[in-house]
Amino acid sequence: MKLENRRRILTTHLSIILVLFLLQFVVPPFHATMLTRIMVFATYAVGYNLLLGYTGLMSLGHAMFFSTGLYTTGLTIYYLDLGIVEAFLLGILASFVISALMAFITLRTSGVFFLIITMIFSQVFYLTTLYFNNVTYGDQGFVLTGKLKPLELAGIIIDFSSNVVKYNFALTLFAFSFLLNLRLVNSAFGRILVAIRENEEKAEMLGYNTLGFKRLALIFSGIIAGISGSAYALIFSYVGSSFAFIHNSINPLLWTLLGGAGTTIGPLVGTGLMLYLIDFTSSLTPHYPILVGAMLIAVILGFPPGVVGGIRRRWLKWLP
Amino acid sequence: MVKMASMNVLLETVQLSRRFGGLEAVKPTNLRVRQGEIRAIIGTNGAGKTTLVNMISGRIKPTSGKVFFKGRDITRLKAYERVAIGIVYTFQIINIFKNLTVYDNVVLAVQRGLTKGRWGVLGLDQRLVDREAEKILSRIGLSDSSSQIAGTLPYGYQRMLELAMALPLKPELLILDEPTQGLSAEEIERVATLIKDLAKEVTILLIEHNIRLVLELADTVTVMDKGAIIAEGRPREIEENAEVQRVYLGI
Amino acid sequence: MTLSLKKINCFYGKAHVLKDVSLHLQRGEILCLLGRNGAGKTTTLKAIMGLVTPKSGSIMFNGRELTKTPPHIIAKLGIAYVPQGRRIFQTFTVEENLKMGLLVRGGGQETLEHVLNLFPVLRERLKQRAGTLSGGEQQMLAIARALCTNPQLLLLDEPTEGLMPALVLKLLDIIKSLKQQNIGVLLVEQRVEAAFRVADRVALIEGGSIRYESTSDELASNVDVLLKYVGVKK
Repeated sequence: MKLENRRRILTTHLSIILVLFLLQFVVPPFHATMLTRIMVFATYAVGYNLLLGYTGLMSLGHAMFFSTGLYTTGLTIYYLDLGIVEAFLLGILASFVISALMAFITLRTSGVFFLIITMIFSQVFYLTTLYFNNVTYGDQGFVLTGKLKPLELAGIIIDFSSNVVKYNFALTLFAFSFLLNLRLVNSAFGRILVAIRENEEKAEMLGYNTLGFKRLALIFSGIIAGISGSAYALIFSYVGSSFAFIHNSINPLLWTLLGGAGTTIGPLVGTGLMLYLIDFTSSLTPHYPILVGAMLIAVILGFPPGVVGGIRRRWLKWLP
Repeated sequence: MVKMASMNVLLETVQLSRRFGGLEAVKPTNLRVRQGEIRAIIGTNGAGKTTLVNMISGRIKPTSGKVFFKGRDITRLKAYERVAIGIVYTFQIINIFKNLTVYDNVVLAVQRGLTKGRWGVLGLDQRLVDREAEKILSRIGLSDSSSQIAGTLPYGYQRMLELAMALPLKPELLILDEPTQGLSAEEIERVATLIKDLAKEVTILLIEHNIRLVLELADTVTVMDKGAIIAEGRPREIEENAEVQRVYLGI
Repeated sequence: MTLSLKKINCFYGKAHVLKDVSLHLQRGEILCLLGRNGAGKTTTLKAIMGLVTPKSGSIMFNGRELTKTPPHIIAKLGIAYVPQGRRIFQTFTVEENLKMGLLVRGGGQETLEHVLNLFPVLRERLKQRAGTLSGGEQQMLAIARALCTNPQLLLLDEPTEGLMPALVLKLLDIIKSLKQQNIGVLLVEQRVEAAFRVADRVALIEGGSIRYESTSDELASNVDVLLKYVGVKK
């Protein structure tokens, strides 16, 4: 019953990664940079979607997870001259610690209270980056150019100032998160998250430790967000407080809803759509937010569950 | 229906009570359910039946008193932990996953029943889960509806689904809270047959208002009124009990 | 008071749920609409109450066409609806729930007292949050609230569901007593016993159509019909 579906799903997802890989050879440099950006932020959105779309928990604190990765990687390279690999791994570790902490503190709440408490913690984090601006340079931020030491892997030199490296690094991370997310949501674990989203009380009466599963979802979500933050630092060489501000929590929310919450491909589509929309309209007029807003409304009216959500509902019911 | 019930006490509550503010919903109550029996709890509306079984299933905490299952004090166990040791509750108001398919509903129960421990569910074989789910659907008679969205099923089928989800959890004590509410005469027959079938392996605690059903199925009947047990005995005795007749049956 | 449904047709999307349904009810009459789940009983009540708009047909209440009238106006005209499933205001107290009923047609303390006399257990629970009542108590509250609107016509969807036997009898007596007050009752049920106990007339609905109509005495003696439409082996 479900095995042909499995193959279709896997083929679709692998094809998307393949297309992303091939695009770098055909698109002009500007779009290659756009796509790199999109892939980094799509990773962020994938992490966010795990919590929002599948578990049903809306957070306004993900900027904190993103920035944990961003700052850990950025600061250790800037001040401690760490190598890229060490800095990146530290970023993941730090994301794990912060996510686990948040998982144990905030998940006793849900709904609006969860929204507020995640926002508060995130704001505190933001203010902390400003407070220590002699180290973090606050809003102005700092750059890592010249500090990214080339790696040597299997005899190949990988230099992070190269656009090719940036693109493929972003692609690798996105592919990893994308496929990990697919594996998670199509498993018993994913089904339980959906059950919690749909009817938490019933899930508990079926014998599931719903609090434990929510915590696990938050931790996965936070780590993926942190990875995207670390990647941002390495690829775009810039670290600044603006990424800890609440706008950076609202962004993945918007991208996810636009693309389709609760779908695996939605976050990528939403992020891509939004970033291109902003780029396109900002070249037309300085008042571009109005245009972006209008187009968002149009999309949501046509596809209330998001672009991919709408596609799934109308035509491709087998999409996860 | 006379059963050779074993003398083992499966479930015991000791002075179990529950207050809601000023209201004593359940007065200190001692209930003893024997392994293998079908125990019916009947009582006036507001007597505390659901509150009592909620304390047994772990949905709410008692104000005082203890719950023992197979001799073990489970008062502190959370609801999901009690499912793991064999106490399963089906809801009075149908509580299924209305937006998911019938199949997905059953799978959620099946995958829980197939594993022990908190995270065991993460390493399950999907094909095994599918096979078990098919079996359950067949047993309950819902195979044809398996890809339908549960909320669109007719009411009677939704009730059957609620029951179907209790089975894979491998209950030792199955608590059925008004399982025939809203069902037609034929549907009630089907549920009765299912209960009789289940009772061969499972101890059943049944809350019901359908007297005919209670008389047909129960080994022992416990009667509650205003938070306390006012009578307990074989169905015929209870039916003939003057107090029960006055307060509950309205005769 | 007269209620007259003429050839009502209702659809849920493409599904033809009510097919040329016609019913008639006078003041002081109790009509029981019998049928299985999914036969169209609830849809009939919803059509009368304006919650579902028929594609064709007419519903006349005291000479006024209801099919294009919004539900809150229909309520003010004197029709009270008690839906299946205890739909009360969970966060309001019992008293507040009843007062919501009084508001509809300007009922006062007298009405409230009268209703509380019918359901004494609610008097004990006046200040309690309705959501904390037991299932059966909530059911009683739903019916009490409807009676607080001083209705001319009462629409009841399986009101005895979840009530203990003594209360079922009591409720059926209350329903019967409404005849003296010239209130019309359209009672939807699955259980034949309810019909026999209180109804003057019965209508059997299956697959969206009325298959049979008679007085309840006639039905009681018509074993074939009973077996066929209600599945009763009495």
